[in-house]
Amino acid sequence: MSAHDLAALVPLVILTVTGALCLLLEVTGVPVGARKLAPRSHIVWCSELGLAATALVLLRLFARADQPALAFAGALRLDRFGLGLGLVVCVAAALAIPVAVGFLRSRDLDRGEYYATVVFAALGMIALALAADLVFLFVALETTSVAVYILAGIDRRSSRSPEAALKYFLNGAFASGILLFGVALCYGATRSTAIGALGPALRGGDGALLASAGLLLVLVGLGFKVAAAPFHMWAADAYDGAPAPASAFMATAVKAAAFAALIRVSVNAQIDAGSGWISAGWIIAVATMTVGNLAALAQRRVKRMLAYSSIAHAGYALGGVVAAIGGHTPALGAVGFYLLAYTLMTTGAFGVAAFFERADGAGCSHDEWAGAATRFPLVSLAMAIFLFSLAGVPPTAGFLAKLNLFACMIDGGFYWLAFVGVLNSLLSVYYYLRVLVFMYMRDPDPQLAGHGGAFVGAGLAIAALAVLLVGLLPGTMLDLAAQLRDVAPG
Amino acid sequence: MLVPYAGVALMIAVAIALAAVFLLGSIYLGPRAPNPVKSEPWECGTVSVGSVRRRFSVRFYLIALLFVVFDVEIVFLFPWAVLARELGWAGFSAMAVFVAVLGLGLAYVWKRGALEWE
Amino acid sequence: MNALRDHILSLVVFAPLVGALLLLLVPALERGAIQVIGLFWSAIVFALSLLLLRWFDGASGGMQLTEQHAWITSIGASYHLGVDGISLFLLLLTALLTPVALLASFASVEHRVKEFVICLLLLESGVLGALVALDLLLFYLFWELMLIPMYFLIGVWGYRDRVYAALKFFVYTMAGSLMMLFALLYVYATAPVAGQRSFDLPVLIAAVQNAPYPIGTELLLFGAFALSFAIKVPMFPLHTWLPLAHVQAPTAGSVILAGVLLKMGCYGFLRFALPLFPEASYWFLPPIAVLALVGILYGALVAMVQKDIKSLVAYSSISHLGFVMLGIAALEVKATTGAVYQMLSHGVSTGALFLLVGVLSERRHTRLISEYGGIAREVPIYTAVFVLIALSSIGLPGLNGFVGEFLILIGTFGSRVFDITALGPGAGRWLAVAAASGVILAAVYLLWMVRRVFFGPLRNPLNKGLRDLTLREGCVFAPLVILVVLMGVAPGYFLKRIEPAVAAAVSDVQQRARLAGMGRSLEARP
Repeated sequence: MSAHDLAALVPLVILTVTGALCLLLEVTGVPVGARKLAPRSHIVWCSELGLAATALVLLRLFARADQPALAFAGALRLDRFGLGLGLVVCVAAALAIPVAVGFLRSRDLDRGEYYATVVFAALGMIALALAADLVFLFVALETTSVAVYILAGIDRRSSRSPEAALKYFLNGAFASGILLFGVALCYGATRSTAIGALGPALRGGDGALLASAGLLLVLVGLGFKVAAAPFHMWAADAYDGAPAPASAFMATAVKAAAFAALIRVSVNAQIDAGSGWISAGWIIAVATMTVGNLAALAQRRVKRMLAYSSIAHAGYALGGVVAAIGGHTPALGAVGFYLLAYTLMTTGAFGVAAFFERADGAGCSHDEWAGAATRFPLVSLAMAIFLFSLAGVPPTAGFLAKLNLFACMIDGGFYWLAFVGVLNSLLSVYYYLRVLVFMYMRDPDPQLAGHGGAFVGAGLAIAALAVLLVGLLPGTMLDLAAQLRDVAPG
Repeated sequence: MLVPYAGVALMIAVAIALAAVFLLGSIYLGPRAPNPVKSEPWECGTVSVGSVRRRFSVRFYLIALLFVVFDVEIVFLFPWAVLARELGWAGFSAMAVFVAVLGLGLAYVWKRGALEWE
Repeated sequence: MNALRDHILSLVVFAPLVGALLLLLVPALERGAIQVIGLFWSAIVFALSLLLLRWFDGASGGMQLTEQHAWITSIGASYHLGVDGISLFLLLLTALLTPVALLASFASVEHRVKEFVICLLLLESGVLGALVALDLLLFYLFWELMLIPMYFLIGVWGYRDRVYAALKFFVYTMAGSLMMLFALLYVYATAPVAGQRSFDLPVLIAAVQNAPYPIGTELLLFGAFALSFAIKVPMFPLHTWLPLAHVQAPTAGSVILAGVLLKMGCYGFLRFALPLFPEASYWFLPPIAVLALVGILYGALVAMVQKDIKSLVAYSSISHLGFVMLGIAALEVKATTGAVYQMLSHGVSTGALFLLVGVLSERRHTRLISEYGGIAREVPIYTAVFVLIALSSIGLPGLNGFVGEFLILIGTFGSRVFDITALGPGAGRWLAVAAASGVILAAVYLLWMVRRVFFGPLRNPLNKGLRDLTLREGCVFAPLVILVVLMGVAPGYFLKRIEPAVAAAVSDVQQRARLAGMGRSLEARP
């Protein structure tokens, strides 16, 4: 076992131990069969500490990773790109946990298993972000997916949550199958499961066709996970049906990790800037943002609107990926920064939905949020910040991330992509503002209730402040993001 | 470049053709004498009793899952046991961690009450 | 004192923001206390902004009191502020109108007072910041920051159709802004700046000066910027959001909207669109001038048939801003100086008109002209103020409106910008003559409205015993009335400080356009 192996192991071990600890605390703290729930604050703290420790380790590795290194015989690659997106995953998990507490308590779900599942999912995602081998990538993806299916269905007494979990599971399993078939084809073409072997194989020789087919299937499989059109159909049902705190985590962390894998595979494939892959890529990017935005326009439930908005945001990020594959490497950093901003604002927005959500998905429609600003001024203020950020209005993180991303697209020569992105942002303004219209400009609905508490308040406040802070003083973050370019050797 | 794949294509074609022959053959050649008992979904010669929509206790699944977990553990333990001396302390510690994790899982399941039948 | 002087712009820009944050932190006090705090705070901001006058060197046309600090170094955005003659008085006007608007809404805003005051202060910060930002990213940030509080001001505290008006306002403006953002990013990504990329306005101007874009690209870029600014002004045919927003907005919102927000469009043309794309400007100025003329006449004609006093004032805004745009399009020192002056005087006069309408609708909860008539005897002081402001808005010599319009008209008359275009030689003359008819139309619609509202017999019994201006309302109007007269009789004080900056800007654009082979006829001037 080399030093690199150990280094790669540390964050994963910390998360494993944290998850196990959450489970143990659950069974040791409360006597068997006790119906009445005691608050699980200590478990929340335990998971948060574990995530913080992981983040610190990842940061430390990030600082030392000026020379990318392979670990475990090429299964993982310790580079700044993977570590950076691993950090984004940590942020998503660390924010998704506190905003969940209020909802979980109200639905009698506040158990160690929830927190442990989030931590285990984060473990899979960090592994996914670092994966440099197709088989390891698949294992990491499944670890993530299984945990996330459970989260989607965690509210098993609700009428919607199991449905969402089943839909997500079936689509996810389908995607996994496609991905695995692609891995098999790639192996057939390259006689290796290393992601780095794809590039040379695609360049010519006997296996070029097989390798292209394999790459295509792997990318399609990952396209399902990031919810890129036309593989996005499941996302709205899954994010809307799942409990809002689970959606907060699913819509952000899964996306960050899957994007990491998608980028690693596609950049390693060393695609020609002029090839059909690029055209296909930007068509998919444009389709994703447009479909997401158009569908979001028609929604009457905030959660469902956020689900479609997450599809649209995947489209913007895909645009950045296309620019990166097209030869403009700084776009990788822009995508990483975008995913961070997206994580902050989307976790926050779903967190507010979790604040209001009641049994069976009630409390999440525009109508029910009418006049929320008079009853819950601070939560509404936070929501306003998240929505403006999602719409890309300064001085928020969402604005700066979009600016950075579009600048990279223009820089890389993808003018039309940036232009369509700008037009799409305009479209999105309408439906984000509509939520604010209901919250701020309608008479209050006396039925509306929220589950507050210290954790929820702290989670939302931190997310909102982070959105503003990253929007106003993004210097450090941008500098860090600029280093996320070492995704492929050479 | 496509020549090496000719065999694969031939195999696919043969597979499809064969399947088609069997299916169509049984449709067109097979004798048919339908009666109500035969067209039941579960057809074994006797008339079926009761509803098919019966639920099994979730405990069966739990036990089955636990069985699979510990069964797989054996699959890992045997090869290690055969090579235990060659693998030395490194192998031992790896296996110890593995077993410890499983033990932890058992402890959790036990405490959670999943092993209690009533 | 030096430290204060070095940071005076930051101080002025961020003081309202700090006030808003402080208000956010204080618990929900009673209504009066919050209003007084807001008023006090914005008055302090105004006092601070007066310091600018002291330190501003009127003879210089360049940027003054500049500040530059590192901000987002990795993408080349810096915190760069500066003020010149074009922005100086707009800055002061904003700082003045905010406390005035606050004071005016003491009685009319009844619910969510704290949020209301916070919105107004945020809006003030946004406007002030956009006026002094010399970094494109910083400018865009403030530019959008203006949008959010205004959206809430209309949507939360407005009248019946407020939600639709607010949404339309936001979506229209945002559409323009995003076009500008795209063009801005294009310039950022492609301008041949030595070394690191930059959002800094002077750096970018220098870069595009050294290596101009091909004219096709430049036209598109100018078009994108112009679209954004033209929506904000708003120019005909992009004006449809404005009457709606004005009619539905609360009084304070209308005052700030008319008084400052609209000027940001005109300001944007002068500060960004023209200097960045001088050659394209020459292509675009004639159509802009024609559209401005259409706006002048169209706004005036539509104003004439309005039944609602507030929408009459709103349409008169379109007409008056047409003058401003005409002055800018003429690209001639006199005309453009007049345009800047007209921005100020329109801010004062129209702001005051909206306040006056607000007073009336507070009393009677209607703004229909037909509901009034002959109320001059009931409210003599109010009538006197109204007539004075209406006259100033018409452009009566001796009051503020005259100076700007006069300068614009004579400047346009002599302007040669249009000679080389399809409009034909001497186009400036007929543009000026046609625009002058707008002044006459203004007299028609305003005086006709005044006659129907204030004079004649008192028919509607509900208007009997209408309360005249209270002391508080007197305090609201006093500074505006003083300014109306002051700007009319002593325009030199203002023009002296505006003109050098305008002259520098205009000659810069002319010179660079000439270098690019445009505007030859400028040299053939007799």
